[in-house]
Amino acid sequence: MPEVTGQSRRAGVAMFSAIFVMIIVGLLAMQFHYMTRQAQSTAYRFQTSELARQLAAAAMEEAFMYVHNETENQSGAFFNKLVSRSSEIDASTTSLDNKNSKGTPVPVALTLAQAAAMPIGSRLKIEATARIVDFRNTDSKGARYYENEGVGTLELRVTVEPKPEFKKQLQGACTITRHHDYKVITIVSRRDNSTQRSSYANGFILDYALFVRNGQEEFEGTGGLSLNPAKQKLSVDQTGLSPSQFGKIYLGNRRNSNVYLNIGSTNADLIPEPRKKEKMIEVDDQTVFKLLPKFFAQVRAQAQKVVNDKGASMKGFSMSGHKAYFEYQRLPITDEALAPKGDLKDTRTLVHVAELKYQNKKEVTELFPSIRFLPENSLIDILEGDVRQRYFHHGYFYVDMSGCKIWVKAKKSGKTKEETIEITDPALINQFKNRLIPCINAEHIAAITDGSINSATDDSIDLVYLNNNIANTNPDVLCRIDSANRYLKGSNTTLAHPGMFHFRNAGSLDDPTMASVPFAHMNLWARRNAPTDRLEEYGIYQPAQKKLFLRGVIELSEPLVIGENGDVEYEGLGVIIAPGITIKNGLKRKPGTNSACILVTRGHPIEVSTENLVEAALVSMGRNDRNGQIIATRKMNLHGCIATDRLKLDKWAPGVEHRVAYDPFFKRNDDLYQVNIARWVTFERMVEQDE
Amino acid sequence: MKRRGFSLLEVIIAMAFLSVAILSMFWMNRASNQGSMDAYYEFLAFSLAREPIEVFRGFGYDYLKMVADGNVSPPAWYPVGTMKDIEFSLMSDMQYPAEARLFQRLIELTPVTAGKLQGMRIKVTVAVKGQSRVEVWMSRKAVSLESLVMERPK
Repeated sequence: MPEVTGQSRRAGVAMFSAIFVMIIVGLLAMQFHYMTRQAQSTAYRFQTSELARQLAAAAMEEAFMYVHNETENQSGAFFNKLVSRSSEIDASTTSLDNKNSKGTPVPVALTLAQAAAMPIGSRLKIEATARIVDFRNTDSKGARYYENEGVGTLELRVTVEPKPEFKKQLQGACTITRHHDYKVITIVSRRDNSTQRSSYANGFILDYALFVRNGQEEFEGTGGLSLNPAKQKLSVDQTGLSPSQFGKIYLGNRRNSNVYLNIGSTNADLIPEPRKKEKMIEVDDQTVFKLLPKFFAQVRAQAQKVVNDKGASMKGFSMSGHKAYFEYQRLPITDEALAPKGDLKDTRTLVHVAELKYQNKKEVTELFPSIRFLPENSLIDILEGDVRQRYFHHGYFYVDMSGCKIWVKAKKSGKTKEETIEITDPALINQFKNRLIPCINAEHIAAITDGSINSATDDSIDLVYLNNNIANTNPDVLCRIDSANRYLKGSNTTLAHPGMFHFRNAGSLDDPTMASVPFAHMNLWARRNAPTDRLEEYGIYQPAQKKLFLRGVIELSEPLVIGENGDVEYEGLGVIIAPGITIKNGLKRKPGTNSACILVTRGHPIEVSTENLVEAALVSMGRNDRNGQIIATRKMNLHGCIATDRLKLDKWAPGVEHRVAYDPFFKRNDDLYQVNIARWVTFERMVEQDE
Repeated sequence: MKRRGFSLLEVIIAMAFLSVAILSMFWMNRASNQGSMDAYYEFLAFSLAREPIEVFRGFGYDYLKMVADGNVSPPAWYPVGTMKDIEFSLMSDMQYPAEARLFQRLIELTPVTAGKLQGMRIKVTVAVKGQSRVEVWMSRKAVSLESLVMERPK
């Protein structure tokens, strides 16, 4: 039957259709299930790789902070590797293929501890390394920086990946690479006191307890008062230091020129021997008659009378039993030292004024004590350049007629024999009893034309005769203001002229006024042009806590006031450059730390208005105007050093003795570097791996 | 006339095979749905955990320290120290997926130190709110993520 056959055929189609549909549906269901599993796996891998990324980011931050902290630890291993660019860490000259072979591990203890506390994190290995990938030790002009100074790039690399035993179960991994620029600068550079520097160093000025760059100009402009002030007293005291620790003193003299310091009562023992009376030439009776025309005139007048009474004529004079000789002594020159001996002071003033007039110089006629350098026995190890001592060379003619007899030879007319007649005049003898007649250069005296002061001249002596017949061969018989000797005790040795440099030129400079300011390489500075309020914001200066944290060279755009709230304690190695600095209270190094505070102005003053101890180097040297100065408005007690264009002591507080004690921390046989690593990231690459 | 057809036994066996196949497909489909939704909500929860870490990293250590010390309040949508609902509002500055409101979030800040190093550990836990459909779909009831924000030079 056709219907039966037809039904059988339709039933077979339906079954196959149903099976086909079921297979398709089954395949789709399997595909859906596969995709679901994939999604779950992706979600899990995302979590693992995200965890790895978070740990890598944390480790990178920690590694950076570790490096940052280590760059202020001058004795740390990492610091020294970085500064010396040890072969372990320095890949700056290594080919690209081998750069990754260099590097030093950076500990990331906090990240490891955190990872260990996490179920997945504990299965991850975290490593951080640091390497130098670039370093430039020359400036933009190609001039080489000092020793290990320079600008470099440090690469930090952090890798987070599964530990080997979990590599089959975990697929997440992350590597972060960052570059930070860093700067290496010497804050204190080594100096051997027995030699000069051979090139510019940023901290060269710290070699000196006192450095006056434009000293010669200031000295001449003030008539010597810059170093021999009228009312101010300054001592630079290095008592107790060994010669290798002494801070040098340079007062700014140009080569082949000099400056001098007045000798007063306190430093009189610097005057070279002989300091006491030194007998030079004894003269005979005839020379005495020539040297002392007034005396001779009186003798002659009395003789004439005697001879006339006898109706004879004079044939000559003779004298015996007298004392007459030239002597000299070396005396302090200052008013205060000579004040007890008024006649000596008058003589010195006369000699001084006469010399000035003769040399056509204008200078103060009052002579004040100089600034003092202690210990005076070690000045030969302290001073540089040509510093002279100025004392009073007192030359005089000593004559004592108290025991003398004077005769006149007379001859009567028509007689062949001469008669010797003694002249006895106690008044005349007494006039020249124990007389001390200053010998002054006749040419100098002649230069005083106004008659105001040469009235003080003892006109008993014939200065012209003295000049022409005695002083011409024995110049020491004349009084003079002597500045021929160096400011040394027991020596007149020529001292080394300091080696000074322009920071980009290799050659040494003769003229100190051309010497570069310290810390001139501004591309090695840590910060530039920062307002003062940023110091507090950056945590560098905390006025309320009275703390100063120093690190590298910071240049401010505004004047800085330190110590408004009391003594400030500082920590770290650093330089602050500002357009004007005022120190209101003490400034002290944190005990037990290798800290140094160097305060610098460029053409602006540094004012110290406290009597409290200031432990710092004060440097006021202009780049262009060369008018740097330091002013102590109260009695200054500085433990450090001073470097300035001009001393300008007349601006300092009068009537007190300011004291500068050199800090031997600045005189080292090693270089003290500071590394400043930038927080800014100059390059970053992150590679995440989740398969 | 003998009519061709299936015996009852054949039908029963066929239905049994068909039932197994259909049930398997249903089970697979359900498992797939479950896994898919689990993955989705895991991903969402983990993203919600990651978000404050990234934001807090941007805030930096000093700010987080002030927050941890109680000197500064954190932004309103990042409460610290308490498990809070994640706000969803079309008017909010911070926009989340609508299903974010099915989660709660706990942000914890813990200072950590090692020598001179100072840091802030951030731990974010995202938990499923009770009585929500996420509870059905998500296999874990909470996910957490941690990281460190270190003090940085200024």
